[in-house]
Amino acid sequence: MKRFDKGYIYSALLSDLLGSLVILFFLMEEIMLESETPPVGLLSILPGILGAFAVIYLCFITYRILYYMTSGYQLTEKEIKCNRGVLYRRRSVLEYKNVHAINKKQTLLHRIFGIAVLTVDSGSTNTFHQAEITIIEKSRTVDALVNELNALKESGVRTAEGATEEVLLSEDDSLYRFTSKSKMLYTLINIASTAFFTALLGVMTIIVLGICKLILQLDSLGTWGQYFLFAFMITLGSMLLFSFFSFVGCMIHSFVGYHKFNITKRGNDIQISYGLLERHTNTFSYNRIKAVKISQGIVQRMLGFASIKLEVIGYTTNTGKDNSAELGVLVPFCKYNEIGDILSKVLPGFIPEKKQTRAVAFFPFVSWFVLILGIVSGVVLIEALLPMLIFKVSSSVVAAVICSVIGSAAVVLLFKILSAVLSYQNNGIAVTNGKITAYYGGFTKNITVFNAKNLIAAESVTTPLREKAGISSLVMHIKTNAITNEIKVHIQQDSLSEEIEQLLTL
Amino acid sequence: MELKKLNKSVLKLWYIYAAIAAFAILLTFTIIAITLNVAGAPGDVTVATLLGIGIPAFVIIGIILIMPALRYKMYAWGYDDKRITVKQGVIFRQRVVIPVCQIQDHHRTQGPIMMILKLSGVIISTAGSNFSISTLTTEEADRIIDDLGGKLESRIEELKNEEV
Repeated sequence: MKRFDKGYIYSALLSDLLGSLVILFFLMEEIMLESETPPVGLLSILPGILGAFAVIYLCFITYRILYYMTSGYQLTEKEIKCNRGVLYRRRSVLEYKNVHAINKKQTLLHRIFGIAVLTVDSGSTNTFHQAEITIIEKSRTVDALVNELNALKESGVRTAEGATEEVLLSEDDSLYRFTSKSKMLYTLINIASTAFFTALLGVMTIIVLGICKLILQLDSLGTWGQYFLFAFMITLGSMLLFSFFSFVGCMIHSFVGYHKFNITKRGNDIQISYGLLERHTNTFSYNRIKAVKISQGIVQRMLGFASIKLEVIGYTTNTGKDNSAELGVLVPFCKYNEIGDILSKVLPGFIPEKKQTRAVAFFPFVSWFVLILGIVSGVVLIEALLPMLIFKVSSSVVAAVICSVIGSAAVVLLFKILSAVLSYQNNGIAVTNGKITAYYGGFTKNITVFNAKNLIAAESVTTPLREKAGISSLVMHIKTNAITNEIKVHIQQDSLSEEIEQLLTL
Repeated sequence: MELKKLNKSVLKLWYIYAAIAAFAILLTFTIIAITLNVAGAPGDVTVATLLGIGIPAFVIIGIILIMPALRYKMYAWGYDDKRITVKQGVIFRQRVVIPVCQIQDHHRTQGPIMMILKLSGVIISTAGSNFSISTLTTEEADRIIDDLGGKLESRIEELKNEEV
């Protein structure tokens, strides 16, 4: 069994050292800030802190060396074997023909030491939280292994000749590019979303406080002119502050996380690579893609943009720690009317079809919500009013409480009605030649395209009244990760559920 | 496909669960009342607190005690060579169809009360979701697991032949 590259020890220890120093820095800062007088006591405890630090770091060194000594991998004739772990040892064996996704990851520290992490996943839902095989090797070796494993998953058998010819891909081969212009637009739209929702929250707060001021005669809020001026200033300030954070976050996310975002075809495989500080190169077969999901947030929808994600068993969550960019993303940001063009180049079998059915009624989208909201608001009112009546609270306070409960319920209801109107417009389905296109969602519009052969169960949900009216909601379970595998299309004709059931591979 | 109703002892089990939940709520309510009394809280505060907690608590207890009978009335299940069908739900009525050929594995589960009543739950795993057939007699659960295992193998063979 071949051991991992020694660079693993150095990069891991450097990473541990940096992490520990950060903790030590914050610890020291805390001690320094607590003592107002010159920290005389600090000098006496400093050797102790440093000693503890040294002991902990020695433990890290021991662990990393032991991990290096006990871990390794081997490519046999038909399978790849991998040993890893110190206290909990894990031995994984994966046949080449069962290889589902091959991902290469390289952090900044890995690049310094010239290594990369290769993860090979079987696509099993039982182990979807982490890949079966992890190999830490020199970056070049990992590239060679990616090529070799790509060839081996087709042939299933490793011959004596060893590695296959390397398939070199350049940026010119990219089927989609996340350009700087698109990244800027993506950032601006996210800023607009943040500003929009902050403004909405601000206006709601102004109204609620205004009602309280009116009923309770709150002089502390100043005159009406002062109140509106301050409220406007605070809302504007919040919008600017949150938009700034959104700007910084989006710039890092799009320019660093999606740096050099490329999608390329390699025979039967699709390869997606991105990232500046942590570079990912993910390779998987076309036939492993179970669905394509197109999403549009409310602001994206108003401006005609969308994002495209892939639904693939095991693939989307196999590294677990990735915060810079989602692994399931196919196209992070594009114009909505370009989706057809992009998918025709990358995944022609997943181009969405036009809706063939629509939601048949609006009222069911809000009926149950209104009922439950009414009950909850009623209970809250009774619960609030009873003690106030017992304690003989003044009538103005009682009126303010009633107003705020009814006002909050009205705001929630308003949101629900807006969401229901959008859901009523969105929900629908199209079935053509064994391909299902489901339209669903309220504020966020989703379109999921998948083949009927990947439908694993069909569910219809109705109520006694809806049953009489021939209405039901449809829940389709597809072959992907357990968390994301339900597609709910609401308030459709009852007969649609039966049609979908006919599409199940029985 | 003819759908079957659940065994009568399942209703007994659900009532036991409901009684345990109702008892826990009542116990919490009693403890709060005693604590207020021992602490010498003013009468107004005691009444306000007990009304505040009592009204929702008794509404919840009422719902808990009604639900088993309604749930039992609405539950039906069945299977044939190709599919498993489960109908359930009191207000929101669900009908789930799971193809036999999509089953990856099945599990039988039993808690202590289920053991006493000789009942078992059956969980059917597919490549993505888990579906459960609420509670069956242990004999029925064993039979369905054996039966589905056999049907799955023969169905996979059939599908292979269809592909050829």
